[in-house]
Amino acid sequence: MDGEEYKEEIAELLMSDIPRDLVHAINEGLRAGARRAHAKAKDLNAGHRANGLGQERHFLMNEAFYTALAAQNASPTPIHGNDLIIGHLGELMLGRLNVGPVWNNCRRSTVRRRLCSHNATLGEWIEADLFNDPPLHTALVVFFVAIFAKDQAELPASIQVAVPDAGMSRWIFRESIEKFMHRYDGISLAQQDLAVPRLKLALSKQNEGGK
Amino acid sequence: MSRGGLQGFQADRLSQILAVRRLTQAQLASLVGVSPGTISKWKAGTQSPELEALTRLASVVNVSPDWFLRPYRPMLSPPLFRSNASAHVAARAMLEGRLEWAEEIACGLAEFVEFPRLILPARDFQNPEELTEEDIEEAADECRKLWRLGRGPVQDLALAVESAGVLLIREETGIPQIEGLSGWSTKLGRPCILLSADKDNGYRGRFDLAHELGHCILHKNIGRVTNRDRYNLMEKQAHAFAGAILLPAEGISQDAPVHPTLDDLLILKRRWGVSAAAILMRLRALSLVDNEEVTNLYKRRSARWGSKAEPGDGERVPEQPRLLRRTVDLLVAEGVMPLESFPRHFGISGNDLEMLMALPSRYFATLEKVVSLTRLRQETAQPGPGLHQLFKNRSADVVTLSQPARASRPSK
Repeated sequence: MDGEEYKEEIAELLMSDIPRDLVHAINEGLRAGARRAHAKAKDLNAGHRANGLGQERHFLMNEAFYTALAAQNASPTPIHGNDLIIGHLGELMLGRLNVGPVWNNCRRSTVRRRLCSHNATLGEWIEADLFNDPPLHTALVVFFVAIFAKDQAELPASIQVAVPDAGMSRWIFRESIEKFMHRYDGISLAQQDLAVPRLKLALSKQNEGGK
Repeated sequence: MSRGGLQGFQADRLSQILAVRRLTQAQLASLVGVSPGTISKWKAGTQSPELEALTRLASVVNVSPDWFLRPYRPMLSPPLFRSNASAHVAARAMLEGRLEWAEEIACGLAEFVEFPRLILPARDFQNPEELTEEDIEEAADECRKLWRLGRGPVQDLALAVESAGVLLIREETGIPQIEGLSGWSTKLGRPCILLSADKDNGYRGRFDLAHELGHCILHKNIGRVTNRDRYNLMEKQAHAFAGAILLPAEGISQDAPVHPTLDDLLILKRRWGVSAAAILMRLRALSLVDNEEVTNLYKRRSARWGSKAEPGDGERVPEQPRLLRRTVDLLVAEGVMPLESFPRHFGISGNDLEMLMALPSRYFATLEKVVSLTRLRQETAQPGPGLHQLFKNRSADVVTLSQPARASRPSK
């Protein structure tokens, strides 16, 4: 199937399950978590500030992610140690992770890799043919990925909505959260043209009779 | 009861045509070749013109003689004007008359066709003081929901408005100070909006339309307002509605950067189809910029662009109405009414119909009864002021009066 084609299908699939407000809440929460982490780590000794900042980001962004999911009734798993926070919306699971400019540490977590195996059906659908409808009621995992630059900045350079394949070896859908949020605004939808007069029924019948 | 002359002469039609053509009684008298007192008596309904005088009167003002005999039943609520303080009373009367004509045409067409179902939020405010900012935001939001516009930019507001069953007229009025007016047709049960095409600015046109729509929804049950403060309040409310429907809070707050620059506003202008100045006002209304920031941006705006125009004003083609034009096409295509019969059916000139129905220029040109300027002057007992001067605000009529008839209808 053509790349752009399935990307649109996946976006539709995600939008049908994730309420717009939840995407906004996650965007806001992750940024707030990053800001809080920065505030906590900025006074650390320069020798371990980067490590401290990374750890604080992990915990505080997890907390913010949990709050966003809980507030929007997305049934998050409880905060516990280093465990991943996973939100649930029907068959859809929502996770998060932080990466640097290069996305090379995503597969480090065994739990995360196991989680991604749920995307096998989606992968099969993409590999199959485009005449089949996308799988509607199948498990699906999506991540909100905060991408940080190397400069210990306060905020992530970007937050992306990303769907990995079953082996977490590639991303079958990746889009900035801003662009994804715009999808809910219906910008790309063509406006309906209903400015059309209709002949009154009696006249229509009269015309038909005359023909 | 009128004395002498034709039975059934409608004095109110004379008042209306004087307003629409922006003629004084003296000017009309001079063109028709009667005394100003006679015009005054016709207008007051104490006397009616004889057939010959009526024919001359009709040809001078470019309507059919029987138009003056048709019952005059205005079905339009007192229109609300969007205008600045310098707008002239006569100009308002002219536009009110044009809007009444458009409504009368639509009523005539509605005998043959069904216009799109009216889809508007229903509000029943009796006075403008009742309305809160939340009411205005809610009305705009409901309108967007009803029209399935999402939260993003409206691609074509004129199309959205007409798709929702509102009658829209856009024509050159010769009065750029009055951007638009609107009222409700009691017969059709739907609003009529007339927009001035004089400024030819697509961005402003959209805002003007949204403003009039705000009047139609929010002020439907509020009668004509003479109190200046009340009028200003209603204008402010229609402005707020326009901002809310074109720039919904959820959409624009997501798009607008913190501490926007003028160039950020220009980017937003292109995307949302709303002027930078209107975007700035909306950001202030949503408390996304504070007053100090607004002042600074206005100062920079004046320094860079001056106070009137903005960069890119000409980039957006003004949105055009299509509903009435499509109705004409439908009736002709279905053989309900031949093209040549439209001016006769409505009793007004093809040129007026073309303007009010957004039809191409000279659509009905072959069918016009053209009056030669020279002949008109010769036949006028006392040649009055030049026609160009009399019709200076309706230049299209001058073209009609001075052009020879064409042998065949021009291609569309």
